[in-house]
This record gives sequence, structure tokens and C-alpha cells, in this order.
Amino acid sequence: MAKSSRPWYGRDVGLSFRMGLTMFLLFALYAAFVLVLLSAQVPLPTLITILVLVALSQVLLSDQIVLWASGARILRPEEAPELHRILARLAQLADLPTPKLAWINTRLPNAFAIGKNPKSAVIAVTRGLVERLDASELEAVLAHELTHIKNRDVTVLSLASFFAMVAAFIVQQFFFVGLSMEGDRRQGRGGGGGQAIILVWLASLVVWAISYVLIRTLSRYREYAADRGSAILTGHPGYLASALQKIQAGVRQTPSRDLRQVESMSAFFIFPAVRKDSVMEIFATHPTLEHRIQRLEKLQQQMEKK
Amino acid sequence: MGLFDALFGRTKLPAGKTDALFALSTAALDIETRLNSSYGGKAAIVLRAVDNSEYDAISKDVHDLLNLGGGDFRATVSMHQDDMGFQWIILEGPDLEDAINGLHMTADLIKQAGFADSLLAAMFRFGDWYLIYSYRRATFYPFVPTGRSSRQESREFRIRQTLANALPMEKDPERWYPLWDPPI
Repeated sequence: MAKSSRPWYGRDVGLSFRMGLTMFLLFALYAAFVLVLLSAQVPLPTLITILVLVALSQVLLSDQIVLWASGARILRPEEAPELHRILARLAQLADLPTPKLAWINTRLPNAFAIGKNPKSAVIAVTRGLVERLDASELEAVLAHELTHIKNRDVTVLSLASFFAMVAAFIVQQFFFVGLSMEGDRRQGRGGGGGQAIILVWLASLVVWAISYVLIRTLSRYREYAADRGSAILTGHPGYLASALQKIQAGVRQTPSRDLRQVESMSAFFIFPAVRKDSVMEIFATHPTLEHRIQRLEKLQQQMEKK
Repeated sequence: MGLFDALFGRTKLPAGKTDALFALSTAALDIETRLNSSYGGKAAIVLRAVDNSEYDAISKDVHDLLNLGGGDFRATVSMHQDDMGFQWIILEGPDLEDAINGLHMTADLIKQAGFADSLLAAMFRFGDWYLIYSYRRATFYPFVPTGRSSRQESREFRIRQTLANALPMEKDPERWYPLWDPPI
């Protein structure tokens, strides 16, 4: 009865399917968008300028800038030996190079991972996180972040949002786009006229709105996947569940001044740094705590049953 | 784990690769003569302990298996759980060959029970340094701790150089994961 792997893990067919469907829908949406842009005869130089600008903004928003903006400081191993020990074990288990650890001096308990590839990845933890969580909960949080690195979530989500940013750019900088189309038409190069300009603007608006929901849906699925990865790496889904509960309690107790400081970082965090739960889930970057705990409990049951 | 798994967010831990461990038997002579180190009588398998009742049964099986090994097999088994939730199965005995065989049998048992992916490393003591076998990557790497969180990298590089021909040594020093405070 030699089994090469335990049956309960690795597979969440439903989650993979929904993730695949979301990525497919995004791809289809973007393909349609490009077709509209081409058929409305947006001048090629304008289009290329926009693409280059958006690509540049994605490249320039490098890991270093995110780290710097969050006020994180890279920790040397001897500054936090226990955390580095745990991280090295998890990295070995996941077969990844050990990421660097960074420290953010805030009461807000949270953590995030950045890095476009595993070799340059950094996991940042806050003072609040290390103060509130015990060793096994910290391990679960680190394993969650390590799974983000393993799944290359920074790259996946920045690729997924590329054309969304293009659409947003066209909607916001419409004057410039419209002017270039109008100029083309005047010079008799067959550029689109008034109707085509409106079409491009409307299409961009629609793409922006739909992709916003799709990207956030994808982001939530990646969070579930990272929760799952944490449970598999630590072998204990319960550790992450209790860590998430403590983090939520901590976020609720954090003064709003401290929350505002890190608000722009929210999508990167293991838990969103916003206090309201009333926001509809489809517009949120993270699933609700209840849903995440439910999934973890289900996984726990599957692990027990085996 | 491939690109496809990453794209769909599937976490799969690779099953442990156990067979390359035997390369150590033939490299033993090199370690003795060229590094002037002899086997320190202690070796261990490090694995992730998981929440599962079946898992508890394994430790009993390991005991039985190794104790039934007969008179030829001169090693005693002990278990140790460290504070990071990893299980150490420790073999103590004078002979390196016995340790290699014993650890291989143990790893096989763990594999058969379906826990191939929780195998992390095998560790062998040689005087004041360790040789670690990574089940993930099927490679060996040296570990020379000089304190609770410091290691002597220059010596590790020399050991790697010396054993490069005899053993499949890990080339990427980033994968020389430390195992601090080993109980062996």
C-alpha cells in the first residue's frame, strides 16, 4: 500500500478551477479590449506610449520601493535568530532559498511578502505581529508568506493587472488619448472620429470596472491558496487559524492613525489593514476571516481522516 | 513544483529522494583521509511532525524495525521533538555504515506510510561538523556551527571542495539550510 503522497493535500480542485476560470476571464476581457483599441484605430504611437508608461510604472514600483514605503528594515539573522530559524526550516521544506526578513516598527500585527522571484524575495513582519503571536502562529504566518513566494503571487497579480492599468490610464488621461485620435483623423490617416473616441473611453471604463472585480477575486483565491500552503507546510491548519484571529483582534485595536499609515499596503498583507467588515467581499482583496477559518477547519478534518 | 502548480496556487511538497544517501558509504574514506574527520557516532533523520494519528504509529514501527535488525546492527534509536515541531529520529552507534542503512530503512518506512514529503534532512556528525543530506534536493552539504546562530562558512566551502568528487554536493550555498542546535 505504498503511497507516494498523502491524499488530502495539494489538491483543491474547486479552488484551482475557479482560479483558472478567473484568469481565463481576465485574459478574454483583455483580448477583447485590445481588439476594440485596434479596431477603433487608436494611433499606434499613442498605444505604444501608454503600454510603455504602464510597463515602466510596474517595473519601477520595485520591491525596494514597496519596502521603503512601508518603512521596513532588513533584519540580519543575529537580530532575530528565532524567526530566521523557523524561516530556514520552512524554506527547506518548501525547497526555496531562504527569503530575507524585514521588520516594520508598528503596533499593527501584520506581514507581507514581496519579490518577483524567489531569489529576491523578502518577507516583512511587524512588531505587533511578533509581540502578539506565539511561535507556532508566527510559523504559520511565515509559511503563508512563503507560499505567496512559491506561487509567485507578486508576478501573477502584476501581470493580471497590466491591461487593467492600461484601461485606467485611458479613462483618466482621456483628453490626451482623444486628442491624438482626433489629430490622426484630421490628418486624414483614417483615425477614428468622435464616435470611435467615445467607444474607446467606454470600453476602457468597462474593462477597468470588470477587471477590478476579477483581479480582486483572483487575489482572494491566491489568499486561500496561501492559507492552504501554510497548513501543508506547518502540518497544522489550526496554527494559521488562531494566528488570523489574533491578527484581526489586533487590527481592531490598532489606532486608526497607525492603520492609515499602512493602508496603501493592505493588498500585500496577510490580513487587510481595514477595520470595516461591511465592505462586500467581491470588492475585497482578502476573503473574510470566517471563510478562511472555515476552509482551514475543513482541511484539518481532511488531515485527520486520512 | 512546476510553473503550472504556481499559476494555480497548488502547494505540493516534493516527495523525499532517499537513494542518493548511499553515496556517503563510498565517500566515507575521503572524509577520513582528506578531511581528517571520523564519524562521530550520531546520525538523525529530521522530519516535519504532522497532525495525524497514523503518524504516531510510525515511530513505533521505526523502533521495531531497527531493534529487530539483529546482532549485526549496532545502533540504538531515540526520538526527539524539537521546539519547532520537527521530529528527530536519532541513531547512535559506532559504525557509519549501520547509520546509513538504518536511516535509509527508516526513511523507506516513512515513505511507505505516505509521509514522503515530510522528510526534511538526514544529518551525520563528524567531529565538530555535520554533513547534511537534503531529501528535497538529493544533495549533501556541510554545516559547521560555531554557536547558536553562527557558522564557519570558510570551512564549509573547503569541505564542499574536498568532497565535490565523492558526493553529490549542493552547489548553491543558499540551499545550505542550517539546522541549529541539533540534538546529535
